[in-house]
Amino acid sequence: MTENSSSVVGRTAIEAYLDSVEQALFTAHAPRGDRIQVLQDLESQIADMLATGPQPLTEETVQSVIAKLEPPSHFAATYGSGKDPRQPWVTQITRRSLIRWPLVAALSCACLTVGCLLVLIASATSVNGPVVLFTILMLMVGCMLTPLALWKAIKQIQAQPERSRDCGLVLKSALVYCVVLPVLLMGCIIFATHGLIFVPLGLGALVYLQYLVVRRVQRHLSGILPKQPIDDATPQTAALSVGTGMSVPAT
Amino acid sequence: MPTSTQIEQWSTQLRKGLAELCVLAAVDRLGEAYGYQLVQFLTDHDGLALTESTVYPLLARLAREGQLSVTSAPSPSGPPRRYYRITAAGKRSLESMLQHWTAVGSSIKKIICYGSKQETKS
Repeated sequence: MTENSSSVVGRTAIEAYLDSVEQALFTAHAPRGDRIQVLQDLESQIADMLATGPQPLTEETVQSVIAKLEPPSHFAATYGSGKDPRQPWVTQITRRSLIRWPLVAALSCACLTVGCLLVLIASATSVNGPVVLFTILMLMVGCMLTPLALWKAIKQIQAQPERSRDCGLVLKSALVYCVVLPVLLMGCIIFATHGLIFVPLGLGALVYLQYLVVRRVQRHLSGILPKQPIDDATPQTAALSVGTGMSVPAT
Repeated sequence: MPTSTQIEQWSTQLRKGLAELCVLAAVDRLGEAYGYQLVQFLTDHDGLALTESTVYPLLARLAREGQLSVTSAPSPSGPPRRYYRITAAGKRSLESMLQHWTAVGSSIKKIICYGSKQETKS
């Protein structure tokens, strides 16, 4: 087999492999210069491997050499998983120029507060459908968007310290959300249970108050009363005397 | 108990972290070498298993960063070969990496020796 014919036979497989490698590098956004250099080195390696292999070259020989090489996708591993290496900077620039998440959090928290006020007004007066719908919309936006916006705002401030002036806004929004949402939920529960929720809540509050009182009294008495003197009684006799109320002579 | 797959993954990550050091050190040691020559040199050393898919992109990046210089020369077996040589910037990077490598290796050795001493005492 002449060199020309063998190079024609093997060339198709070699070029197919090199094209696959180039496609993988292109997909991984490898720089053009890198792609060219990698392909040149690879082509040179294939030529060296073929030169040291059995002669004359056959299609099977070329295929066996290509089979020894790494899969095309492995060449792109250095450049990540196919994402644009410029993307983090692009994303940062995009985020810097567009959404100001602390402001979004504050606005959505304001929606929640306004929604609560509208609920109070609606319960006191007879309102028509659009107002009710608007109220529900405000409540839904406030309830669902605020935590997401707060999380995004925190991430944004952590990534961009120059936005630290928005920390106060985030803190206030978080506090208002933590106060308003439980009140809103309690209101819904009260409405749903026609006030019966107050019974278990009241009992729970009473038990907790009793616990606090008992603990406070115990601490107060422990502080003002003298400590019990330690006598010669053994732990067992001490335990017996305590349990039976009788004094057991020390042994 | 780590599985063999986990150990293999750890080993792969370890080799990836050392690839740049190994490539620069290999080029520095060989003086001037082409891509396949470097791949063969590195694969001859047990534990590294640096293949062409790792070495060639790394060579391209190092050349782009100016740590390696590239010259083309005719090849007896096919297309021109690209010969790599370390530059002054590459040497500085290599020295810095070797310092870190020495420090890390020393620390690990101390930790391992400390652990051995504890086992001996107990």
